[in-house]
Amino acid sequence: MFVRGTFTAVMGPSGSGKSTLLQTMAGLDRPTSGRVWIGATELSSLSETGLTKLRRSEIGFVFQAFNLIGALTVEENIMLPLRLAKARPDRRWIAEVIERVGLGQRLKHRPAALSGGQQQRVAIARALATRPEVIFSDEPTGALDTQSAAEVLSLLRAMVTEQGQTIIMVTHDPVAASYADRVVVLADGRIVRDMPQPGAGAIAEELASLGRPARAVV
Amino acid sequence: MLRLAAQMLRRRIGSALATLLALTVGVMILATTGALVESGLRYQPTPDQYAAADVVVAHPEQTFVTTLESGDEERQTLELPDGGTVPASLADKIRAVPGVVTVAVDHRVAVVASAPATGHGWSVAALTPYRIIKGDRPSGPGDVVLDARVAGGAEPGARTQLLVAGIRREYRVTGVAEGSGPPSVFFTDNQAALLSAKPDRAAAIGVVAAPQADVEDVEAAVGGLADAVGVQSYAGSDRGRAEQEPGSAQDLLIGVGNSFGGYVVLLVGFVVAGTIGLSVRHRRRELALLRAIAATPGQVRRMIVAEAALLSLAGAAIGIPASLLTTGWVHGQFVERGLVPASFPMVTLGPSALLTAAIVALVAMLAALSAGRRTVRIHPAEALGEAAVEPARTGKLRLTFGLMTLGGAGAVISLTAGAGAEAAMAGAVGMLFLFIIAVSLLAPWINRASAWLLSPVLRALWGPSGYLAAKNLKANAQAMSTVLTALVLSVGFGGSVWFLQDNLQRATVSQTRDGTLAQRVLLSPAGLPDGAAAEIRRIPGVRAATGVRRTSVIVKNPDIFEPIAAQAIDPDNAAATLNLRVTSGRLADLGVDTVAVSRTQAAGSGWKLGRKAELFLGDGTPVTLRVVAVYERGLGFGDVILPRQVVTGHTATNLDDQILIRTEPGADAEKSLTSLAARYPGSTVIDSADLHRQLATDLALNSWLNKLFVAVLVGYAVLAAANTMVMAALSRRRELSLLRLVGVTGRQIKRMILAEQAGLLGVALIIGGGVAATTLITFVRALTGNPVPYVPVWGWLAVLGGTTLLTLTTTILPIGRLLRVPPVHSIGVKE
Repeated sequence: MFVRGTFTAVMGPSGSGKSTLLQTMAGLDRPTSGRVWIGATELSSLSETGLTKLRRSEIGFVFQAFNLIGALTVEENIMLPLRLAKARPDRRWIAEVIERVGLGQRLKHRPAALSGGQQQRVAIARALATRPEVIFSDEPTGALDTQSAAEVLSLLRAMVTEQGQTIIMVTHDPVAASYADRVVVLADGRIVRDMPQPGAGAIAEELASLGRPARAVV
Repeated sequence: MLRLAAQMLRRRIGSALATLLALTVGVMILATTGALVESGLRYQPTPDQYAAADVVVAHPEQTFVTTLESGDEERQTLELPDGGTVPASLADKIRAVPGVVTVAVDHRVAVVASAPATGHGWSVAALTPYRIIKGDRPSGPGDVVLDARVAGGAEPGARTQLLVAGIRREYRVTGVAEGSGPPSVFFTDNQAALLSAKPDRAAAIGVVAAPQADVEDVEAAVGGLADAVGVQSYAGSDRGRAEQEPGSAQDLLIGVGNSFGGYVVLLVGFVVAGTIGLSVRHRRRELALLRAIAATPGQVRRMIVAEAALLSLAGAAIGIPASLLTTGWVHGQFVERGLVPASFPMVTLGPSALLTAAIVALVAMLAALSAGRRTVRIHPAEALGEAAVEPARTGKLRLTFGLMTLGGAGAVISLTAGAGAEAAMAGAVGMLFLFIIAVSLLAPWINRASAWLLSPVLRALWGPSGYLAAKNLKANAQAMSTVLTALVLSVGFGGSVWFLQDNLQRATVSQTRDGTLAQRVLLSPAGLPDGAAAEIRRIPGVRAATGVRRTSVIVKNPDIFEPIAAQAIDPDNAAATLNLRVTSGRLADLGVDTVAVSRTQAAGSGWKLGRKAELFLGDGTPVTLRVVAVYERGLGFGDVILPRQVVTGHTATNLDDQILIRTEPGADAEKSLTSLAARYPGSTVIDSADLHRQLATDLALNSWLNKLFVAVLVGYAVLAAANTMVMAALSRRRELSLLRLVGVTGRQIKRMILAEQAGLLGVALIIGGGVAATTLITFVRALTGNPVPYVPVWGWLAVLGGTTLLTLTTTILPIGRLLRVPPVHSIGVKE
């Protein structure tokens, strides 16, 4: 259960099921057991096209890399989900989003001309363009340097605080997780910790403690 | 969707160019073929000789009827290879039609004046019309009016020597006339009828209606009379068809469509589908991303199809104008070789151009649709991952179809055995395509198996680079399918189709050479009369002389009627001049109402020794003949050999083309032969060896068109292979960057690519070579019974060297380019 208007970090060691959880929740993949609701919609009842339409209107994505279509400009990339949905874009909202991510000057550029941080900001703008119910993000800062990572994370944080946006982010970086309201830790596909965000240091410790018993078994 | 597709294309020009190239060249080849065929089909010969006639009755074509097992009748209309004739008696019935004022019966006779001409009765002059400019009309049997073009300055009253029906005669020139159409000479009507081989049959009957008569009524009445005796009537602009010579430029152009149309469409379809499929495959990650962020499967599919549609539109926009140039060039070449008159109207930008554009667009869109169908199964979650490797999913269905196609290709081998030259050729090319389709279906399994077999070899030869190469070949087995297919297509096509022609020509020449026992040949383009062979036989030292007349007959083979080459010979002692390699019966038995047939023709038409054979002579006359001999050398001497009396009056000129002369050993008949040749103007005595050399040259000239087409098709297959390999190489940017980042040096990468290409090349050469060899062997065995095809050394070199060069340059060069970019730049966002 993820509460509307909160920023949740999903953490855990490699292979703990973070990405699987994210993909099933986002309707990219179907769960073998269990069910997923977004708002009042139950995902397993939807067809492939139905899922796509749901993703289009209710879900935004920010992946680790290769988020953008190389052939399209920044602006076209941001507008792509609206265009595919044949929805009339809310000009004011789009302008606000672009303003907020700070890419006003680079709308006509193509992704190849942007830095990694800038590319991620375009991806965030695209995710926000449809005013989605929830944004899923898989290691959004995994390929970025510390400075760019901080910018991207602050942007996500601000979206939650200022707009009441719901964000679920998979990460294994305690610093990234420290921007969230809540931290869920997975191990072997199960939730082992679910806590309000206690600060980067505490998160790192929690993660380290997860490792110890595992090592003891070996 | 269309706008999104257009944007995607505009910004990815590089990779779109490869597809565009394949489409454009495909459109160009198809549109050129289409323009040639359309020009042939739409050609309306203008009435010339009979321009002043209102209705012309003639018999250029005949309808043949087959009764099928179901009881239905299948009708087939063929042009008569020797031109049909109409009964002269029809003229009297036509004269009785109300409104008819003039009826002229055209008995044609071969004449050589100062140049070759055609002899007619004087009444025919009114049909052109010919006008006398000097002197008067012919009035007696020895009188002649000469066309000014062949008069050679002769004045009325002069005596002139004409070669009429192969015999030199003297005439009194009564007048000189001017007119259009082919050069003519006019005798009296009676004399023309007497000189022609069959006075009761005529080449045509021209009808002029009275000025006040309704031409349509006359036409209908004459048409009814013509129908009743199985001949045709022509009026208005159709009259030109009554004048047309068989084997004209029109037939040649339409023939292009018959022999190549199907292959061109198949090959273009194959290449276009392959290229589009590959381009979609290379964009897997991008499509997965689209799916993840908002595109429904339908939207992705529509975008891919829209891209294909846009590209084919662009391909047509470039390819069709370009086809104007190529059509013009081909027409120029035809004219240069004397195959088509320079004035022949070529149709360009006709409906065939539109049809071409539509076919190519349809193929491209269908290919995109089928590639798009695969992408529906792309998991959107793939966009999240690091690697964009296509999962190794190869359906059982594909395997089943692949094996079935392979089986089908194998079945054609047995069908082709015992077929005639044309059927064998068609069977061979059909088999080739089946093999290549089978390879394209089975390619993933072939690639996997060969990677497994090759990996120890590659590792031994190239060390760590070879190891990587083997791993890549195995991992990319699916993705490399298109590359393998394109290579096999080039090798299989290049290695067989060209040599099919060569082998056919060689077999024809060698059968003619081995089968001709005569040492000398009397040749005459103007034709030799019946008596010439008899005269030669009387020369001391001559053992035998055989007059040979080339003609065609129409046979049922086995379900359809088709014209085939035949020879009519003077059977007297023919065994001394010809060795047809008779397998059963005796050539000496060739006499009244008999026929000798080749083994392949006997098998094709179901004829047996001693039984009846039903066929149609070159003018459409049905004959039933008894088979007295079956022989093997059908390529060299035609599939049917008739005694001369059977065709008398049924060929265009009724003259022999050549006389084969066998002299006694040591005898010197040279002087007598030379003086005899002097009595037949235009004839020469030559060595049969020279004749065979001439035959080889003629065949090469005739096969020029075939070779041109084969070269174009092979060229297109090679272009497609090159295209595919460049596309495949360039799509590896990320993979190679990654390898370099983890420490593989540029040199090692190049060695790895080299090892990969060597492996791929080896597999393609073995499979393509196997396909080419099977095709060639099947074809040659069907033709000659000898299973060893002839492939010249340069042929081997061209196929092996060409493929090697192709594989290396189209991969090493683009990879070299990729390697010049620092790896971190390519690991970024763009695929």
